Amino acid sequence: MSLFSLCHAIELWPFSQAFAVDIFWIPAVETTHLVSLALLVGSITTFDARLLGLGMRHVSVSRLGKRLLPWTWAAFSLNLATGALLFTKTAESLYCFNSAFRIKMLLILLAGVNMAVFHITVYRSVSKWDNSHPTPLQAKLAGSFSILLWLCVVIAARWIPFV
Amino acid sequence: MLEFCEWLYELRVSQTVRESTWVFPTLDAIHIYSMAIFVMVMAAVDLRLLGFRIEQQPRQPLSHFTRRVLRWGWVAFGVHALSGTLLFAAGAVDYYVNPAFRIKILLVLLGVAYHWVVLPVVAKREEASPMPIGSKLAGGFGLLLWVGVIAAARWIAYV
Repeated sequence: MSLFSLCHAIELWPFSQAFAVDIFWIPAVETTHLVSLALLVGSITTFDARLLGLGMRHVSVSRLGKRLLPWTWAAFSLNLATGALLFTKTAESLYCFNSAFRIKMLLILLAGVNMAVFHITVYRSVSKWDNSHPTPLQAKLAGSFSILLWLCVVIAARWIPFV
Repeated sequence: MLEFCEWLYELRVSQTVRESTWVFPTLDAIHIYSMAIFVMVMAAVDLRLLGFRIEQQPRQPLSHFTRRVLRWGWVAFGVHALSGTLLFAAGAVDYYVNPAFRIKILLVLLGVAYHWVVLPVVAKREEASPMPIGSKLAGGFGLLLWVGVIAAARWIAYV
């Protein structure tokens, strides 16, 4: 099955068709998508700010991570679910070959890779720099990339209807 | 007021926002990103009033935390309001007559006044564990206001 026929089938699915004309549920799902975005980007940026030494310096890095991460994952799940729902209604006509949408997905993936790299490298020795400020260079780099990547995710997202 | 919106709509800068292929999505992205930061900062105070905290024994008293955190919030709000004004100017008359837009502006003003004036007063009370019901209600109401703002904003296109 080609990408096009998959998107075509999703858009023609009776559920997507019903959703596409529902002027109550579309803005309701969009609202949830944006509220979860604020929580997702907000919690990630708070952690990044600590890595960069811009704030929350009195809290240890591992404690901040442990307290914020459940919120981040909850927000990400909600954001993904509502995003998938919004995708269905114009899967073929808008998203299938949209370059901004593809860049957005790629950037989210990169943000995930950045986070994974951070966790399997410098975060392993977090006990050595948990309360320190400044943090190691590699942690600062991970924080900067993360802030930049999520900003670009939002930019790419807003560009989708314009390309 | 309608005349003012018409005048705003006709301005050169409004025309640029409307017609340029890149100015509109750029402003839109700035508007959404600053919203995310702004709402998260406000929510941080609201959540703390609800009893969520990073440390078991927070080092900073709630009033100190509120003052410091809100300072960042107002920076994000400034960026948010500026980009919002430019986006508004590009479609001033349509927005002005839109009931969802009016509700949104009303909720923003309410939210700003609430977080600026009411919350610092609530935060002056020392932090207890568990938080008193009054503080929890104050935090819950603050969160609800921002969800309302986002909802009203999304409804603009559907009323």
